Amino acid sequence: MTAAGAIQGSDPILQMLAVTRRYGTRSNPVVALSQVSMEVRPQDRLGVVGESGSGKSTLARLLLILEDPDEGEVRFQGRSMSGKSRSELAELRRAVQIVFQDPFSSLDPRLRVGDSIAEPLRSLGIQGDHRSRVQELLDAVGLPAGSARMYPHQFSGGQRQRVAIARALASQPRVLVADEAVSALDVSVRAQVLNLLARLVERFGLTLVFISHDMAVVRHICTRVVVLYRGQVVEQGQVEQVFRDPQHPYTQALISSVPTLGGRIVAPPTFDWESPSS
Amino acid sequence: MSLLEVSQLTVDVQGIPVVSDVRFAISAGERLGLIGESGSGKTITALAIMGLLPEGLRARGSVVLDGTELLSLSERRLSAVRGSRIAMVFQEPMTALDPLMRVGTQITDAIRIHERVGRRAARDRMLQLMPRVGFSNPREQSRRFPHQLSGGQRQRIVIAIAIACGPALILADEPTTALDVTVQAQVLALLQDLVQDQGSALLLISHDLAVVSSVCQRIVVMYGGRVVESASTPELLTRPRHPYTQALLHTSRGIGGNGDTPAGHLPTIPGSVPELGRFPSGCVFRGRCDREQDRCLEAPPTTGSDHLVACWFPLTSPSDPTAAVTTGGVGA
Repeated sequence: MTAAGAIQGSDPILQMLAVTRRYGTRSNPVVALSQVSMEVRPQDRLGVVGESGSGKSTLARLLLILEDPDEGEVRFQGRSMSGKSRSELAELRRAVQIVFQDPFSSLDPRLRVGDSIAEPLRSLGIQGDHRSRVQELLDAVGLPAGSARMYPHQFSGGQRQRVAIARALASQPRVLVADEAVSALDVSVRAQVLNLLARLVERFGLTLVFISHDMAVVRHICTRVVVLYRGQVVEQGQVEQVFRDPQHPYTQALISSVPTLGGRIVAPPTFDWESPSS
Repeated sequence: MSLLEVSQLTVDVQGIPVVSDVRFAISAGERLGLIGESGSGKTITALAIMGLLPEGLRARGSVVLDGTELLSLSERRLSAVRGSRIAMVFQEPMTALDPLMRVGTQITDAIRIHERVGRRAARDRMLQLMPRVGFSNPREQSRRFPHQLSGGQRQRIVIAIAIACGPALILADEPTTALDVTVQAQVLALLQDLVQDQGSALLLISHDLAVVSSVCQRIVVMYGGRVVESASTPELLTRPRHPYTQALLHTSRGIGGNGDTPAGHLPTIPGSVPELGRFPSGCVFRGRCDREQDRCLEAPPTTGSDHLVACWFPLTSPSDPTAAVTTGGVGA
């Protein structure tokens, strides 16, 4: 990788080595990821882009060890996570947290927001004054202190996403995985949440894995990017380099397809777009 | 004369106005964009034009197509207009298509509902239509069922149905929002070419300013159920007059720029879009606007002729610093 020089001496936090993941049945397998190798290094702001069915969300689940690869391995701080027990995974659970697209489905509607935010502290057995920790976290994501007593439905979409971010930060993770975390938000609210994410990443020295279909947002917030197409990494590199000079035809099609203000719609070359499985 | 003229269009839900006094016109062959966030009333406006409002909602005001008032038309007469004079394309093609019917048959049926043609003639037209929406092998592909097609292919079938009878107006509500970005570009390019070829007008409804400004010649901006601004696309992009439009442009440019806005420093609009019925009285953008004054407690009148704006304190061009923002180089 071209970036190696810039971040010398920083060992990857997370690594995927020739990972393959299949779903479906033995006789009719669907390959979600195929021979994917990538790494997440400290302080990375890594974008993972691809369209539906490219394997983005599968990649997220494997990085969080919510499921195991069929081939290859996922390493956390240099150690293979294959076949680890629940207690052996505890450190990873604290260190790697995720924010999903829809805060409505990731927050329990019957729990007060303060309890939702404190939930990872309890389940991960983290000691300390949970109540004051919740207040700290609410403050960090720009929500008023009184929010802890309220329920998710009393918040707007953007505020709920702030709650989800506060919850993800509760265990003081090193890595924050954002899976389409701003995709469901209105344009006028999206910028606020993106700014918040960027500031939190800086303030807490977080490593960010930003999974998105939105090329413009990835370009804005990330420093490095991995492009997935049908379960394979077709290109990876520094964001600006990939955007200015994409090498793979798919990356080229992806970038030229992004509509711009007052631009012209350019239909990309027929890049397998006839295929029903795409 | 306008092809479609919408005036004083108002729709209430249980006494709460979700669309208030909306007015705009589309000329024959024109591509008009209607932009708005959630709660802006853009979809209700579209449904009101088509006479497809959900049960219990009634539209007041006027929607005139080619001299015919649509709001007072009987359902029977309106059905004849829908599909033949106005056609629509919605966000989710799966809900527009019958899952149990071959896609070719659905196109053929659409033709036969509106025109007196025989089955064979309709089928011939279908086979000519399919290549126009990008199916290179219509005999084989027309026999597929919707689930055997990709999302983009399904939307192209819906577009084939929409253009089948050569409508004067195609109304497309978020037609590409559910699609991947490369497929979105294909479908938008197709839609644009087709309306140009057959001289149809297009009303493109979207939350995506980049999409609308790439396809349409003129843009209507809605917020809180009202039209806050409308102008030609180049004018709106370079000289926005409503603070909301300007804020949207700043945000979009920040995100869609050449990576030159540092992460964490995007221009933002304070607050969030209020829930339905919670928009403030007076100016709907009150509470989120940096130009707000006491006068904004009262609803602003719409002023201007070609470039309309509903604001007591609109931005003035070109001495305004905001006008210095150019359209060049965005995301290129």
